[in-house]
Amino acid sequence: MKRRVFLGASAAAATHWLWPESAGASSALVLVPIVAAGSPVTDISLGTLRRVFTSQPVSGPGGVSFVGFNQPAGARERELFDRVVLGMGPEEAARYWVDQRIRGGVRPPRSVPNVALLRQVVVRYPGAIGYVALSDLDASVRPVTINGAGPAAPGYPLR
Amino acid sequence: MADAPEVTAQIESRRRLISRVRLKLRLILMSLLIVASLSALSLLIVRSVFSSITPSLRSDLRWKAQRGVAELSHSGDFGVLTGNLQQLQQSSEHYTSDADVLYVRFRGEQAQVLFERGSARGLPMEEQASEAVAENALAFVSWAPVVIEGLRVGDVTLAVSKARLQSGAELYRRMVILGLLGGGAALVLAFLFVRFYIAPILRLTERTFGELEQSARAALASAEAKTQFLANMSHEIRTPMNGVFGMLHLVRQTELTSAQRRYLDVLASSTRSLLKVVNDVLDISKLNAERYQLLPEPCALRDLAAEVGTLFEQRALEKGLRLSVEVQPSTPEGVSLDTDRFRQILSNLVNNAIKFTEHGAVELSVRASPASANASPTSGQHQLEILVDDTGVGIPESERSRLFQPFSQVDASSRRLHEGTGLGLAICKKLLELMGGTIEYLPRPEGGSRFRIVVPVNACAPAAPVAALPEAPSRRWSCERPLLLVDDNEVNQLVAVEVLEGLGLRVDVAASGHDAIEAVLNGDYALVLMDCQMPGMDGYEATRQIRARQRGARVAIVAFTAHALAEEREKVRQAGMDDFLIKPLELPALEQVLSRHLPPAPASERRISSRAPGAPPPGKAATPAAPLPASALQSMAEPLQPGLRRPLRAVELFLTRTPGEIELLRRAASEAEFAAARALAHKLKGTAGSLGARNLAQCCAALEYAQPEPSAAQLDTLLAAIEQAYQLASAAMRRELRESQRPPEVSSA
Repeated sequence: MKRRVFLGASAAAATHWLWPESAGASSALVLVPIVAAGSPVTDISLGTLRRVFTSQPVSGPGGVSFVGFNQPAGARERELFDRVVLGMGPEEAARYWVDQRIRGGVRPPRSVPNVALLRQVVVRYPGAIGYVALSDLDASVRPVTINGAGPAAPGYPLR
Repeated sequence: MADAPEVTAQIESRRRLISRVRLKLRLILMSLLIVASLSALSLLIVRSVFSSITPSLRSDLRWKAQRGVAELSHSGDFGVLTGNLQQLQQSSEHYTSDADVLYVRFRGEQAQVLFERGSARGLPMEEQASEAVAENALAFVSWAPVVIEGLRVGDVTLAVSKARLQSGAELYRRMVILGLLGGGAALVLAFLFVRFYIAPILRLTERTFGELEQSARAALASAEAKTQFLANMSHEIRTPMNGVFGMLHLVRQTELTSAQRRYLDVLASSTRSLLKVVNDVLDISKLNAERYQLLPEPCALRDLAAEVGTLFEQRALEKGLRLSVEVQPSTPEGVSLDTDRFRQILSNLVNNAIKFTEHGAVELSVRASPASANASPTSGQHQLEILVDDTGVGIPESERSRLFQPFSQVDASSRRLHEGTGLGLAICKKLLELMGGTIEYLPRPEGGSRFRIVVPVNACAPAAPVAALPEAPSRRWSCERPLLLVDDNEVNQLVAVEVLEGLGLRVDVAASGHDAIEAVLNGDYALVLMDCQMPGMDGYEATRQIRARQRGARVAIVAFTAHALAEEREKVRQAGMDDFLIKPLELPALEQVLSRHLPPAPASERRISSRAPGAPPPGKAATPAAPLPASALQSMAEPLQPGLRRPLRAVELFLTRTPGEIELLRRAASEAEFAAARALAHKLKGTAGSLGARNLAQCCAALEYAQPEPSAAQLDTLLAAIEQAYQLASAAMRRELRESQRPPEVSSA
């Protein structure tokens, strides 16, 4: 059974409409960006997400640099996220990172082997941003809206 | 004591045995050394292998520690960040299951231990700089910080055991120890084997060999002494026989009654028989001792066969036998043979045939066939076949097996009809064996005997015709230049001078080698007769010096010696002498020698005697040689007996000189100059012998031929005997002198 997680009373009140309880029960994959529960970040633009996950330096609130943590390659979450955020399919994304490596460019964000660990990493690593399926949310992390839209909002991009 | 050949054969056999034993021992020793060497080689190989493997293994382990910690810091970073034990366990699973990994530890940001496997006891756990590897005897220890996107979240430590290195080193140590032990054991075994097995065997075999060698040396020395004794005896017998033959010859030229001439003929015949016996015994001894040396030379076979026929023609006629000699045309004119020995063989067979044939004929036939089909009759190897057939009594079958054995005669009974030593056929067989030939007896169906000789020979240019025959009448020699006779023995001088002068030759005499050299260099001689054994400078040395110093025409020098051994012939040839004349001097032999070296006399002077056996003596006017003076006759080798007349001058000379010579002899002996003593004894022996002082001559001979060299005490004994013999002889001679000077008593009757 999936639990609804509220990171704080104010935050929960503010975002209650954004995270309907039934939203996570849908059979379609819906991704949610997450940060540590204590992070001041509540919303992020799709462009910021793109820059973070293409290893561009991006500073968040309080001057803390965002650090993206990916799901493992081949995971459905990773495929959807790359397609929506980076605009690349799996093969295209792989070629992109190989190309970056060859050119001495940036390295891809680290992939974390499983969701549980990803959540822990997001919790423990300062400035960490990850993403999980809506159904994998728990209270240790805070979901972040994208351009102010939550998963229940029409036009939510990570679905 | 064993015979020398037998001992030599034993020694050879033992030598081979020892060689085999030594070979085996050497092989065993070599095997042990090879084992030791292989052990050492194995050690070297192992050492080499470990030397190359160890650094590689060490490098691998070190790399494993470095690489491992780098991998762990990467794979375990999220585990370290999150403190997720399961994640850390999974990340380090690959290493914790590795046998080489001793210890894995993850620590968090505050150095709190998050995960640990294995024991860190004894490991160098001080925190290292990244990439650095600490090590001690147990392990390589590597440390690395765990960093995620530049943020240090903890560290990881990995220790890789050095157990594999240690076990390799341990294995190497064990192999070295084993190798050393193996090699050492092989060496110890080799030493023990040599010490307790080889050494006793070698000692035993060498001792046995030494004893055998000693026996062999003794046997060989004995054989040498026997041969020397034979040579000496030959010399000793021939010397007096020289006198006998010479005197016989000279006496025959005096006026004799027919009875005296008959007696002389018998005496001459007996003397020749005696000489033949001596020669036969000497020959067979030399042949048995394998000291006989053949002297091959070009030999005119037809002439040789004719000569043998002529030799026995008279005897055959006397017995009413027909003696024929046939040489087939295919026979080469000349072959390489020891002519003297071959003549001896043929003479022996023909002599036997005549001896044992009473009626009928004796036939000597010679034929030859090429040894190979393509050899021409005048060159190459031939098989010479000689048949001597007679119509005599033949030889019973039971006796044929010992026909060629020494001292065996078909009729060995005391009543046997035919004289002889029984050595002739044995000598023939051994001589033929030396020549590579064979002799066999073949009975003739019609009665009588056939002896068949087959000898391989090489054809060559024919030799000069054989000279005068032994019993040919004496002839006179016309030579303007004198002959030089070199001999220290006065008796021999006298005989030879008389004989030579009797042949119409002039003779000068030299009594030593030095005198001979002086005479030859300052005079002009047609021929030199050189005694070989003389005190001071012997005949060989004198000849060598003459040959070296003489300028102008080369004078012929003939060895005149009582030594009849074949070695002597070779020795005189090597010294530079041209011919060989054996004492006792026999006229035919002398004439043969003279004919080879002197120009022939004019035909009118050649034949000086046509006296047939038994014919009356020639008149004095026709006799070339004057009768020997009475003094000379009396000085011949007669024994010292009461009443024997000796030349006055010789006796006086003997009595005057001998004490001095004995003193010299004693001095030489006291100064250990044995060679000088031997020479002095030789000289004194000759003088004493010529005057009939036989005891003195024998004592001198004992000193001269003493073998081995006598000790001082033995020399003293010999010298005392010589002095005593001289005292007795001189007393007897003085007595004779006094008696000869006493006026003859007039018979009162």
